[in-house]
Amino acid sequence: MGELDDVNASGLAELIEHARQSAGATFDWSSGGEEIEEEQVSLLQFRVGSQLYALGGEHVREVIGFESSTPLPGAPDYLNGIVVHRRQVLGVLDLDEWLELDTSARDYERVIIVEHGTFQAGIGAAASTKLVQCSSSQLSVSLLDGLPPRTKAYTKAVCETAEGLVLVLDIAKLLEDAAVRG
Amino acid sequence: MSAPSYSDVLLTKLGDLSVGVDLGVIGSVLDYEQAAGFELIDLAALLGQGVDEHRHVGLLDATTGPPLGLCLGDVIGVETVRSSSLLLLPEWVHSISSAYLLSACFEAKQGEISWLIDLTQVLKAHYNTN
Repeated sequence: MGELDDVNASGLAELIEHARQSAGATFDWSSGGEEIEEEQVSLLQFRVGSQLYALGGEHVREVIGFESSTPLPGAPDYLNGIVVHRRQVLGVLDLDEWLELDTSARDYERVIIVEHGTFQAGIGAAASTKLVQCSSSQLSVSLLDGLPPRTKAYTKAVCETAEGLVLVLDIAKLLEDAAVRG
Repeated sequence: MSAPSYSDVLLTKLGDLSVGVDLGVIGSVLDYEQAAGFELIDLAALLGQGVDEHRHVGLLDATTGPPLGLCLGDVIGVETVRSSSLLLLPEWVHSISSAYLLSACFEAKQGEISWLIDLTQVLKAHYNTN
């Protein structure tokens, strides 16, 4: 018979049990379930120059392609320029300039549209943007001490990944300060 | 009195920038050489642009004082900007831009973003420094 025969009631139960074991999320009533209480956060990971960054998924409205920006006369260096998306003007922030990090040439291929309250802005990023799930145990605040002061001021935590250290940005503070600076 | 639904602007290139100047305040457009002896405002310098030479000067409609010209770089033509074609700048973006820009831009026929000049601020700056 075909594969459908395997999907009977007892088979499903076994399948679920197997998935549970594979995920290592066995719920232990006696222990209070600590193993699954570790907080998971959704982050959008991206790269600017050689630096990896991430920001909370709740602040991300959209990721769009970047072709070019129009320089804004009189604007400080941390504003890469503006882009128009669906008839909305977006200021594109240059993170390296904002954080005063001296990294390699800009290789923007994406604009991450972020928002906090009434503030909206774009952040220029390389093509490799991806959503990642990060557990609270992967986030470190002790590593913040090794960052330059300005970078540290806008970084909530550092996430250690196989690709390297990822700076998790405090996007609310960044957007508020970008707006206030004006 | 209702707000106008459109405005004609003189579209010009100032270095890399495309800008629109309200045609209502420009009496005529002259070749740069014809404006010899006029008092001139260098719009490019106000916008932080290095423009080596201007081909055109817009003669401002002034009621008093000597003839006052606005160095316009290369005038491309006239474009009608409708309120529906205006692209409003977010407040924070406008606040970090040059003081001589209005708080909106528009997409010119060529698809290029063009900045709109705040002539009130330009004239204020001119008279404050002269």
